Amino acid sequence: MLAALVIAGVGSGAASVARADTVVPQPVPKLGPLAPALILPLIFEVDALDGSESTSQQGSSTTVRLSTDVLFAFGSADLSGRASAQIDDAAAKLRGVTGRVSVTGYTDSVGSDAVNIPLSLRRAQAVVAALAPKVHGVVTLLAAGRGSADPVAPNTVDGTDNPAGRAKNRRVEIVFTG
Amino acid sequence: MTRAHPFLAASLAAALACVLAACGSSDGKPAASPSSAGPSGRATPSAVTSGSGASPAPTIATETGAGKATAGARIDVTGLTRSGTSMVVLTATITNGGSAAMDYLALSSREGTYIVPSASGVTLIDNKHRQRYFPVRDTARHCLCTPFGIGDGLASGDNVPVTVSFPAPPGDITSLTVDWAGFTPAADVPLS
Repeated sequence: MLAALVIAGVGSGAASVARADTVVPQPVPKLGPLAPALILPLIFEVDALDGSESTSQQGSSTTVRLSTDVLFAFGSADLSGRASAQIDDAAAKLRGVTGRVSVTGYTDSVGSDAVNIPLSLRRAQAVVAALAPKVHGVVTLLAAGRGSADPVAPNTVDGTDNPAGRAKNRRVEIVFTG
Repeated sequence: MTRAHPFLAASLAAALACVLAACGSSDGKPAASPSSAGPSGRATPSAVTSGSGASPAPTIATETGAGKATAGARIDVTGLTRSGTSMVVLTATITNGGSAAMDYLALSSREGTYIVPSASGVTLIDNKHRQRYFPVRDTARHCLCTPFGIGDGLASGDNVPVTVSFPAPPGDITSLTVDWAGFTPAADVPLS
C-alpha cells in the first residue's frame, strides 16, 4: 500500500486527486540520466618466475612481454642463444590467432630517444623475423619501436633509480586478439 | 579469432564481486569482507576488529612478518579457492601483533601497478609451471582486493580480514605458495 501511494504521489501533486469513478491520466515521471557504470575491464597478469616473460589478458586482448635482457645482449638487436625458447613459447601462444599482431620494442629510460627508439625497432623486427616461420595461419606481424615510452614499471622510485622497474621496461610486447 | 576467453565472462561477475565485497572505502579503514559487508555492500569500519573478539575461519597457513614494517604481524590464510574457471580467491586475516600501528602500505604492492593502498602486496607462486600470479586489477589500476584507503594503519592488536582475487592457474595445480611481500612465504597452501 505504501509503495502504491508513493508511486501515485510521483508527478504533479494536486493533479493526482481524482474521484473514485474517474481516471485521471498521471504524467509519467521523468528520470534523470543514469550514472555511468563503474565496472571496468579486468586485467589478469601472470609472470614467469625468472622474469623472462609476462602475460596479461584484458578481455580478448593478450599482451605477452618478453624481457629483452633474455632476448638480446646489451645494446644489441641480434637474438641471443637463450631467445629461442622465448620465441617458441610466444609462437605457441599465437596458435589459433588470426589477424594483426603487433610486436613492439621498448627500452628503459636510460639513454636518449635517438638511440633507444631505433634499437627498440630493430629488436622488434628481429622478433618478428624469428616468429614469422613459426606462426601458422593468417597472421600479420607488425614491428614497431617506441624506446622508453609507455613504461610498465617506474624507472625511479622517490627519485632513486629502480633497477627492477627498468628491467621490466626493457621488453618486446606482442599484442594480439583472439 | 578462434579462442575462447573465460576472462571475458568472468570479468563482469568479478567486478560485481568487487563492488559487493570491497570497493568504496574512503575512511582510512579497510572495506568489509564479503561476509561482513552491510546491506549496501559498502565499507564498514567494523571490518577491523580488536583483540580476540573475532571468530575467523580455520587457518590453513600462516605467514609471519619478516621486515621492519611488518615486525610482529601475522597473516592467517583462511581460504584459497577457485572461483569459476578464471580466478582464484585468497581469504586471510592480518593481525598486527606488534607494538605499533602497521602502515597499510606495508601490505600493498610497491611496484606501482595498483593505484591505492590495498591488499595487493601478495602474489601466488606456481612452482610446477614456474609462474607468479598477480592480483587482478582493472584498467584504472584498482586491485580486485580489499582496499585500505588512507588512514593510521592497523593498530597494535587489531586484525583485518582481506580478500584478493588472482588469475587461475592450470587445472592440474592443487596447491600454491602464498607470497606476501614482507612476510615469510607460505608454501603448499591447498587450492580447493
